[in-house]
Amino acid sequence: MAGTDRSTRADFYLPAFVLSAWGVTLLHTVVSGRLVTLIHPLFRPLVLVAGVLLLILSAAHLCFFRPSGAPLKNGWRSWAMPLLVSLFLTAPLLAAATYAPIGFSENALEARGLDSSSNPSDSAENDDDAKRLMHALEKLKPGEAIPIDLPDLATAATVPKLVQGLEGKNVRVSGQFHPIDASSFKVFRLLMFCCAADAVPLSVTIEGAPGQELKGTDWVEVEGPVHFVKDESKGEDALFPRIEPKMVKRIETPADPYVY
Amino acid sequence: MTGVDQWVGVLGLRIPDLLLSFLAILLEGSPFLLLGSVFSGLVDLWLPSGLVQRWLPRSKWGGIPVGMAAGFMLPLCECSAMPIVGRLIRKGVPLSVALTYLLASPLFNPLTLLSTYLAFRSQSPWQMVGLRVGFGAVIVAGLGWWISRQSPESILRPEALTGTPIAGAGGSDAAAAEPDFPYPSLSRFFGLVIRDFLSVLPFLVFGAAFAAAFSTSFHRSAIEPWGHSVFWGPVMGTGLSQLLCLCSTTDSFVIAAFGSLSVPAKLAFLVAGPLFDFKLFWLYQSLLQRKFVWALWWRILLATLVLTWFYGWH
Repeated sequence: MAGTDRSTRADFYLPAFVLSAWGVTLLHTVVSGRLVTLIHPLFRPLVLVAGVLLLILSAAHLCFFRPSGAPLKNGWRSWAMPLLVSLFLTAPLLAAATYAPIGFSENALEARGLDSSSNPSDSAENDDDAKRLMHALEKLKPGEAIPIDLPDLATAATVPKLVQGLEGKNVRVSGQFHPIDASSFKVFRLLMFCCAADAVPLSVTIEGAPGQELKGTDWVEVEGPVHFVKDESKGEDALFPRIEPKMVKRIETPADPYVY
Repeated sequence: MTGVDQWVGVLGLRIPDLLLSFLAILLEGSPFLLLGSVFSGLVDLWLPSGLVQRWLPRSKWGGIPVGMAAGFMLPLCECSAMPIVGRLIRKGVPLSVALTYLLASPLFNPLTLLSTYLAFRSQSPWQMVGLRVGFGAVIVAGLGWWISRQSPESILRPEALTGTPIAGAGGSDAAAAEPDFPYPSLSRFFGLVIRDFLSVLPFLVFGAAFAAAFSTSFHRSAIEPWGHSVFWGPVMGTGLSQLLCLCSTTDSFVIAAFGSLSVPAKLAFLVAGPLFDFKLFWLYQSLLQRKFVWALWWRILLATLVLTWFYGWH
């Protein structure tokens, strides 16, 4: 291009390298399905668009520009600094994309409030959820267990009509196992608002032993009657669901481990 | 992964948890940063400087309400606002107006207000929205007034004043490359987008690393003993907002569930968080001098605490 030797300014290629690394990483998370464990569905298309756009920008840098013929002013520092910044911009991203696990450790989940009795609010969908649950309750045959998501159960605890309707009924919930003591445990799902970094555990206490050896964060399905109780230690009016386990079984990790 | 799983870092920080949070924040933030860079390029190409100056009030203080109103009407998150604000300043928008907009946008944008209402729907939602907007408006207007009394040289990085890129991968773009394309506007647009994106990206990476470290290692139950104290509650709420570094459109849902925090503590969290946190500490430095960023930080925290203490005592 215009007779300039590109090898004289190796730092010309660094922006294209950084943009490509980011573009490829973003697109890889989309294509591999990894994005499901990282970002809220609402934002996933943005990652795809950004990945494509970054690759276009990288190509544009190589096609629309040519290396400057200007001599290096500060010797080796002229290319060393951009090289270091480029490494700083790519190495942590690539390391995280390669080594980040699928889910958080129990330590991180406890730090995010897994041991707390209160649940995060999901009231954005309260009305719809409440109507759907009321409808399911009306259609319920005697003795049948109601399959219910943990966010729906948390919602139900805030709606007096649903508390009345569900009290003592058999429900079936699935989520991850978290031991409390020999006679109780929790089942939790991670509720994601934007991305995995802001996900918080949404849990229900199971008043009984699991009846089998389970490790923390194993996926389980629990069936049994649900009761709504006040947490006396907190001195609050809020009700919390408790399930007496009639059946506990281990299940496969679902494709999407989060609830939204 | 098994080897990495065993790594245990300092202060109880587990590296795998850190990497997971870090990756999620980068994937969440980088598309918005890119979006901001694209808008910034469009502003540079299509928005004439004279038009901006003609529209805006001439007095220093008159522009502050405009900056606050723009935060509501032109909603952008923190990541996407950074490149645009830099471009607007170079287009002749007064610094106090541009920075007021930068501070107001995450706090007053309609999505933030809607999410606040929904999250607190069972806990006096209009009161929470009103207090968040009211306290936020007082603080942002005060900061706008303070910024209007400073010289641009004491606030902005020299690169932001001159328009030259920050040294680094983005800097090398301008230093090592020259346009070589028959359509100068298009090559200028691409050059600007690349430069803006790469100039702010290092600060996003720094911010994401800090946010990931704090959000994974900080035990939220640690604040329970003080959450309902009139004095310590707002301190805990403010501190939590600085550590968790949540987006302003979702922070209400997280804090609404903290039964261990009083209303003033939750308000402190909701007001201080969108204005400043450890992620923004780095992002702001892509445009602003570090000394000014520190000054901005303590003013925001102090103002938030004073307002929420006052509310709590009443």
